[in-house]
Amino acid sequence: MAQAVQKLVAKVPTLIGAAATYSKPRLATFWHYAKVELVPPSPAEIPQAIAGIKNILTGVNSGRLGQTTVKDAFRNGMVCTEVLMWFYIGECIGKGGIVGYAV
Amino acid sequence: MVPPVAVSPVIKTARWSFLLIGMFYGKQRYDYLKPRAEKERLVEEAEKKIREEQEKIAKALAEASEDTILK
Repeated sequence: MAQAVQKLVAKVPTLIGAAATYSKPRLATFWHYAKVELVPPSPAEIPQAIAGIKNILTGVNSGRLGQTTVKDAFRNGMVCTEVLMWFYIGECIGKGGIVGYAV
Repeated sequence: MVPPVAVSPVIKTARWSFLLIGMFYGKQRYDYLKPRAEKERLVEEAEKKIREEQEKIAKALAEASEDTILK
């Protein structure tokens, strides 16, 4: 029993090294994309965002949005779902836990 | 590798504003629920004590009134 534990403890540095070598390139690709795609909007982009939202609202009122293809609607629906999920991630951060409120 | 996509500003602002709103909402809800949970715990403890007392009394009565000779 003690020998098995010792062997396991001796393996931990190799395991950590293997995990690091495995994850480094993947983290690098993730960072490469996240730097461009996941950054918060710069102050210059916020008026563009407001203009974009107004665009969408005029599209709704004029009926242009009724002309979207199913493919586009599906894609837009996926994007909306992803954006809404960020609310729940924020809620998890705010309440300090993943499942449920730790009261 | 595919070059990174230029995300529309609408989506970027929406994502990060939802993140911030979610953080606020989570914090507010936690602060709202915490005192209520405390009160609920106190009430539950008091009721539990009363219930246990009653159970003890009921058990004592039941034991006293059972007519078996195997005591």
